[in-house]
Formats: sequence, C-alpha cells, structure tokens
Amino acid sequence: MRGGCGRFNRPFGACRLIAASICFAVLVGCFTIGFAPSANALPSFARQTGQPCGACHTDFPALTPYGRRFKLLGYTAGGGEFRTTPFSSNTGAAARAELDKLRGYAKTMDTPASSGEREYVPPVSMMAIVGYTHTQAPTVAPPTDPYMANDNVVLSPFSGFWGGAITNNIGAFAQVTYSAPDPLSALSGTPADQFKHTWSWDNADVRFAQTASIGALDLVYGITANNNPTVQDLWNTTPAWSFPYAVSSLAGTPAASTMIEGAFAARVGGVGAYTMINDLLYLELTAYRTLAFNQQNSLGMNPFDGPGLFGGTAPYWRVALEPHWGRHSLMVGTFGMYLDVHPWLDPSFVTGTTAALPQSDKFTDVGFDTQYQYQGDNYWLTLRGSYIREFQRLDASFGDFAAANPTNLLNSMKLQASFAYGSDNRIVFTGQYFDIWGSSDANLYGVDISTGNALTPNSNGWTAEIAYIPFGASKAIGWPWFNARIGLQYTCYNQFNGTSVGAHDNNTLFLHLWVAM
Amino acid sequence: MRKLILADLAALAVTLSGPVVAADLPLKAETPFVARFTWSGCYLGGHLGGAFAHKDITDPAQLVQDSFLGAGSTVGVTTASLAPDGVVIGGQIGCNYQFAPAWVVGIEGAASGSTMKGSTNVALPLGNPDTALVQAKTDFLTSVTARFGYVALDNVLLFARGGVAMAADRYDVTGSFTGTPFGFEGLENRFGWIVGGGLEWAFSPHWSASIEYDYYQFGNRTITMSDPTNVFLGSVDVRQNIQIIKAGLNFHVGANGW
Repeated sequence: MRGGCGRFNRPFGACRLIAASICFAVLVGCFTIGFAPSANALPSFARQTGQPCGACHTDFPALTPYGRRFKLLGYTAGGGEFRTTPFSSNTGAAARAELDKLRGYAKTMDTPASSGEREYVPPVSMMAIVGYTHTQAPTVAPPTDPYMANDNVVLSPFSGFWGGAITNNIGAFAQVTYSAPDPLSALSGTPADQFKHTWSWDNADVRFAQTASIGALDLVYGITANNNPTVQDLWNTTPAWSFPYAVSSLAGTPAASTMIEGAFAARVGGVGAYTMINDLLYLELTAYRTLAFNQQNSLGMNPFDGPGLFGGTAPYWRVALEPHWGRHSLMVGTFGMYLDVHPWLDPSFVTGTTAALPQSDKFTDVGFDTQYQYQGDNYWLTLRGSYIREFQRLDASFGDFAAANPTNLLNSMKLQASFAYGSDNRIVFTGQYFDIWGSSDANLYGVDISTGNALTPNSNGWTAEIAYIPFGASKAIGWPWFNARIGLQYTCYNQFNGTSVGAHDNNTLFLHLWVAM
Repeated sequence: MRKLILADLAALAVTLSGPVVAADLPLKAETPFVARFTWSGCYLGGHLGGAFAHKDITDPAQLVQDSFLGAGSTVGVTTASLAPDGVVIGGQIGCNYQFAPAWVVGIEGAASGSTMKGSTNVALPLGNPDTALVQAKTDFLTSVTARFGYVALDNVLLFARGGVAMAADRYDVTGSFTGTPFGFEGLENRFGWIVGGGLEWAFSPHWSASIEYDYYQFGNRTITMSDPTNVFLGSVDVRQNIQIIKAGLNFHVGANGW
C-alpha cells in the first residue's frame, strides 16, 4: 500500500503562482486578532519520523491511517535523521518502526542509526495563522477597536508546541497559544473582564503507549492525560480536530453547541486508558475533572467564559471499529460524555465571588461518527459524518431563570467530503453541511421579535474550502523544518441562531495562510 | 402412512439417480462456505424493525388542574395508558468470541432512531368539558449488551442478549382549561434493562443477516413537566416497556481471512 508520500507530477503548477500571490497579499496586511485554537502538522513530528507531512496528513490536521497509528503509539515512532528521544535506547524505537513497517502504513521507514550517532533536537515547533475575514454584513459591533467593522486582516493564533517523543514509550503534544484580544464590543464591562488573557495553554495530550500480544490478540495500549475531551481521538470526526480546522473569530458563529464540542477545552484535566485490538477495534475510557477557578486563570483561560465547574468526575467513552482493506479504510464509532456542571454563581464577578451554584445541570452527550478514506495513486478521498445528541437536565439553570425549560435537547450533525489531490502542491477541496437543532427556550436563546415565540438554537448551512499545501509528500525545500497551508473558506448560513431572517448576514469569506516551523 | 410414502419416494429418487461416476466430480471439491465461517471477530451493521411500547402516565389531569387551581385541587387519580408504536432504524457494533467449539460469547452496542409515538385524551373534570391531549414519543434507543450464542448449524447462530438500555422520551400535555391554552412538555433520558434473542445466519464469509426480538423494561419514573408560556411546573409518573422485532445485516471483520 502506498503511503501517499511519493513524488508525483505537478498538474497544478500554476497554483503555486496564485498561491504565492495570495500569500503575499495576506502577509502585507498581517495584524493581530484571535481565531479559534487550531491544529497542527508539526515539523517536529516530521523530524522525528523522517516522514514528509503527507505521510500523516491528507490535510492539516486531518490524519491518514499512518498518522492515526503514530498518534496511537504515543507520538513516539522514530525513523528520522534525528534521535527520537533524549533518553532512548535504539531497541524500542526500532521495534516500533518495525511494527509500522509490518502494518504497511509508512511508505518508507529508514532503519535508524544508532541513537548515539544522531543529533537530538527537542521536538518543538511554532505555528501561526494569518487571515482575512469578510462577512456579508459587518459583524464586529461598535466599538470595533482595535479592528474594523468588516474586512479585517489579522494574525492569530500564534502557538508554540512540544510535539514528539519524551521517552521510548511516552510522547506529548502540548500547545501554548497567543490569541489576540477581543474587540471592545465583546467586553462585558463588568469586573469579569479582568480575567481575559491573550496567552493561554491550549490542546495538550501526553501519552504512554506500549504494544503486546495476548493469544490471538495484538494490542496497542496506553494511557492518555489531556485537557480537552476528544483531543486524544484518532479520527477527525470528533469535535477537537473536526473541520473547519481554522476559523475566524471575528465572524459570527452559531451560539449553541453541545458540551463535548469544546465547552471545556483547556478547562479540564483527564486521564484515561485506551487500546487498539488487532488493529481493528479501538476502546477508550477517560475521566475528566475541571480545573479550579485559580488554576484556569493561571493557565490563561478566563473561567467565566466556561460553563462552570464539574460536580464530580465526568466520564468520556469511545468505541471505534476500523476495518481496512487494500487502500480503503472505514471507521464506525461512538463516543460520549456525561457532565454534571455547576454554573458560576456570578459570571459578572460584580459580587467578587468565584463560587458555583450548589445545584447543577446534567448533560448527557452521545455521539456517533463514521469515516471512509480511500488512498488513490495521487489523491485521498475522505468522507466523514458525525452526529451528537445532548440531553440537558437544567436543574440549576432553570432554577436560576437562565433557562426557561427544565430539560432541553440539542443536536449537532456534520456531513463532510474531502478530496486531496496531488502530493506536493497538494490541493484540498472540502465541503461540509452542518446542522444544529434543538428545543426552543426563551431564556437561553431569546425571543423572536416578530412573533414573540421562544427561539431555538437552530443553525445550519454549508462550508466550502479550497486549500493549497506546497509540501505534502516529498522531503522538499524546508523539510523537516517548515510547512504551510493556504486556505480559502466560505461559510453560508441558511439559518442562524434560530432564525433565517438575516442569517446570510453572517456568511463569511475567510482567506488564511497557515505556517508551521 | 404419509411418512412411508415420503421414504419410498426418497428411495426411488436415489435409485433413479444412478451411481456417481468420477467424471461427474469436480477436479477439486470446493470447501463449503459453512466449514470456513467462524463467529470470532467483530462486526458492524444496521437494523430495521417495528417497536411497540406501553406507557402508563399518572396523573396528567392533576398536572393541568392543580397548575391552574392550586395544589390539592384534583381528587382521584387518572392514569392515561398509551400504546406508542413505530419504526426503529439504526446500527450496531459488536465483537464475538467462539469457543468449545460451538459456543459464542460477545458484546454489542446498538443505537436506533425511532418514530414511536402515541396519544390519548384525558378528561379534566374541573374544567368540564375540557380535555387534555397526552402525547408520548420515543425517538432514540440505545443499548450495551452481552451476547451468548450457540452455533446450531455451521452458519446459524442462536443467541440471547441482555444488558443496559436507554430510551429518550418526550411527553406533551396540551389543550385548554377554562379557555386558557396550556402546553406542558417533558423530556427524559431513561435507563433500564433489555433482554432479547434471535438467530443470525452467516450467508457469506463476511456477511450475516439476523432476526431478533428484544424486550426493554424502563420501570417507573417521575418526569418533570413545564409550561413556559404559563410558567407552570409539575410532574407525571411514567411506567413503560418497549418490545421490538427487528431484522439486521452485519459485516464481519477480524476473522475469516481478515
């Protein structure tokens, strides 16, 4: 099976010129503002594995089968020209490289030289995204400072990473991010604004991985310690690494999302166990607890931007079956989480308290997802689908009049197709339909001005993106120290926050340059 | 007498067919599929079936009348019995292990969307002749079960399964009381248990079809009902069970050459 990393003809050579022009145009106006934290194809991973970025990624950060195994094995697989870990013995790295060879996910896996002969370079990387945002109607409310009401060019986020092995069996992906400040209109004007930060910790996943054989069972098993439910997942169908991979924070986005879709990202700590059985069945169980108010604040997260604190431990589960044959790979799975959340007593901090309500809201999130991936001679075709159903028992919010109903439902669905053509000079076409729907609730979502009826959280629409990745499959100029992605993304809303009136005003064009080094 | 006739016909058929000669035989006898199939491995698939529920809802009349007139206004107890039915469609993932050598043990997770719904009217004596329309819907069912099976024939598995289940229900009590419209709504995720059984027929090295009966018991629970328009809050008790007959199709991996 081909690893998707060979050098191919370059039918899109003209695109390089176009892309360079776009890149220049973007860089000319590059200033600062925040995007949602995004993900990575890290040069440090390329240095460690000796693989070009396209071995692990069809797109950034969408994973190939080999990329999923690299993550499964705890970011520890070696094979590159640099020593894998500061402490490694050659035996462990060679064994894992051999395992990868046997499973055929890497096109090449150079036999590592003795660890002592190779230089150790710490697996650190940096990333930045520069983007131009245009919305159909101006969406930055006045006062817009330090931005304009529309047509902003900004740089954000800027991230630093540790991405790679620590020992033969332990590896980490850890991110620290700078996000530009919000426009003045986004400030609440309350004392809670003092907890807003520009630097924060971001996605973090530290893993221990090991392999074993028990009878007929071939196991990869491990432990993950992470700070964002689903950040540890191997497929890009779960929320943390789902499309779109880069979005503008200046454009309006639907207000409602399920809890597992990032509400507690970087506000929790979790430890879990996982295993992949016979390279087919993935099982995981992880337990999360929220960080205390001061811990969140110290790590750069505004606690009041989150829903509150867990009453106890929140369990997360994941089951996925991934049969693969020839160049085909199919995954069908389920994931979910149960959260017992005590909302903040005074999110405005007017009273100076950081306490949470004694009553709690209970959220049961159950998700189903599927992915089909096909590796052609010079392309990757990926189809993805996910559905999350959240049952909300709002004992605290209903009692506090934050919600009008004691129970609500919220659903989120995404259907996506992605076609990555070419190896170097890769062009990636992605289209996604998204739909969010649920119970109407006047206190949570407001009231329709014209009818007086309670609004729903309903939003739906399409996102289309074309991306250009100059270095995908070969060890081109800059490898393994640099990579880039240029994306032109358009999002169209048919319904936005419960109404179709004015939904198109939020349609967003987002042109961005993503660089990693 | 009938048995004797059938036996005679069978003997006649053997006689007429004549001896098997070497030229009739294939050069190499194909290994019958049934000899190759093993149930060990994992599978994923889909299912389609019919669902029939029984729900006793107590007391929707008190919910409405006491909300309007104050607690304790309603005398007596009204139980509305509903029989929602509908279609279930969904999927399942599971793994089996075959041993000793015809027994199979496994685990299966299944989830279904459902169109089950039913309704009935209940009288509101204190607003006579007012009535309340009581509606119940179940739109989601999921379960995690252990499976135990016996390979009755080489490619037919008789199985039983049991485990935990969850149903997502919605209840509505609507109407008008002395001229004022009301609309109570209650949602719940209810946990219970499931037992069931059926047979699964492997008709190719990777495919099997099944037919199955499941019984879900969700016991008695109290459901919070709210009417946001009138700012009413109350509760009803719901006892329910669900029976499902469904056919499934599974794709097996991890065995038979995988």
